[in-house]
Amino acid sequence: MDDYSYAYVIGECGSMKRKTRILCEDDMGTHETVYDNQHKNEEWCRSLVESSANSIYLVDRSCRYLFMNRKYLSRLHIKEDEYQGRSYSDFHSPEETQQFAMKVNHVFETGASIQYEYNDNSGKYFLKTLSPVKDSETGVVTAVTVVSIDITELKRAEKEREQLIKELEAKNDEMERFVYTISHDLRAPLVTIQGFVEMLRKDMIQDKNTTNTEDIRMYLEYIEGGVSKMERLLSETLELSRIGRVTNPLEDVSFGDIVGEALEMTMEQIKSSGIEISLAEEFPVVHVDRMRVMEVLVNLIENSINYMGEQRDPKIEIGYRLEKGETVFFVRDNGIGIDPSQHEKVFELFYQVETNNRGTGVGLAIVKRIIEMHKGRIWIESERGKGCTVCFTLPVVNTCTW
Amino acid sequence: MKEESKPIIILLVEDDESHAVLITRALEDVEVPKRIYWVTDGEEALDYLFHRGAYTDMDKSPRPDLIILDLRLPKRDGQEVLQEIKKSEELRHIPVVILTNSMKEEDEVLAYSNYVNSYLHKPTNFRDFSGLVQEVGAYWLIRNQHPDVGM
Repeated sequence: MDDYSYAYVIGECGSMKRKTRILCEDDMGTHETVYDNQHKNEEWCRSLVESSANSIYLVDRSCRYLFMNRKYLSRLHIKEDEYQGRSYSDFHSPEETQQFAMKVNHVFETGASIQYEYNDNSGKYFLKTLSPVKDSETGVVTAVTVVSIDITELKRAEKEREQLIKELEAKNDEMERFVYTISHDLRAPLVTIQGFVEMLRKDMIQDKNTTNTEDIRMYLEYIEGGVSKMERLLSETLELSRIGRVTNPLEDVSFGDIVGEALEMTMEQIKSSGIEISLAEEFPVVHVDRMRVMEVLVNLIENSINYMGEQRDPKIEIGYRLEKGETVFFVRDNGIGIDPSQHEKVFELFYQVETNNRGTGVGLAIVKRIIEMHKGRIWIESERGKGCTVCFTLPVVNTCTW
Repeated sequence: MKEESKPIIILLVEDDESHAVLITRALEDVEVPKRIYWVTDGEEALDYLFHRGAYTDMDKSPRPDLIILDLRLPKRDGQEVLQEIKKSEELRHIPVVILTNSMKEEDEVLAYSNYVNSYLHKPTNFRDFSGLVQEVGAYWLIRNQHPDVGM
């Protein structure tokens, strides 16, 4: 039989009494062979069952194994002669057995097939189809055939897909907010500019001979203020968009080193504001984009300095704590604090607790973006008048030195 | 109609100085005698209204007939100010018009649940902006009938 290239089995494999025709194609043409031998027929069926990549087995009402194919034997780690007299409960947990027994019972009671998903303790997922084997004369269910398909890979892909969709949706939402904020907040200075230009014109028409230079100077200052605000907004927006695109390679670096660099960058402001700095004695090693994390710290330190208020004894503390197995870094100050109602808003693009000429409301949006790029979280713990603590997480390298 | 002799008092709560000047200028064109008091944050607004802090002198902080309120404010935000006003039996009858950059629906919903009298977006074009402010002035200061409670 080596010389044929294709073989088709025609006829119902399951019905043992029927004849089976086999067509063989070879160089000489197509030949037909008819088998009516019951033994041969069974052999074909067995071959089909045994060559299946899925587990196939039969059980009786009490979940005792009547038959199982090779695939299932190998899944249970037993040999062909070892399943006789054993039942489902010998290889599965009581919970699994109970679930299975209920399904088997259901097929026996109703005579209908059922299908369900099942995950075993090793994290594998299976799609099981239970079908009744009926006595050809009485129609009574005598056994249940189980076909179990391993869908672990499918499940994993499904989960991954859902996760990706979620991420994309979040990105899309962020993008929409971003475009909205840009289009909206960037226009606010334009109102100012347009407004004062209009006022200049009006005053010139009404006030032909006496030009109030004081007023004109004021208008021009507002216009200039609007222009430079616009400039800052644009350049910081560009900076924000760079964070996602331009990245430095991640490195293992002591968080303390980054803190040191950030303090160097802000030393002048710290000194001139007379702020006392206290640091944790040692810091964990983090796996980060060093420059970006330094930017985070510089931003947070500057915020602390700017919102110190009338504090006579200004302090900034930089440290970390362990919380539910997670390392939480923090920058804490004893300045004016932030009302809980604004804890989330401050991270929004262009949001400012105070409208002043120092900031544009982009700083904390950048900080948040950087932390999130490192798959970390950032939040604020503060009450008005009680100082402010900004907490964040970063990927920590596990170096067990103790 | 208001009496000619008694100027109408407007409290303007706006932290952006240039916008405050623009609003004031636009209101000047509404032909009704008025005095505009300008404060730059939520806390100052409440100090003014409840005669606290720098505003204990009632003559320097007369009760307003109209409050124009920004939402995004330093110290106490506009929603908090609105809440305090509408909680106060003395103040709740004063019309509060929110004039804000925020286009967030949740801000709008919250403002109305805090009994705001009107909610307006700041137009991003100056002509619309000053037009809107003038409309607000004309409506609340001239057209709208309002008993002078507490006067």
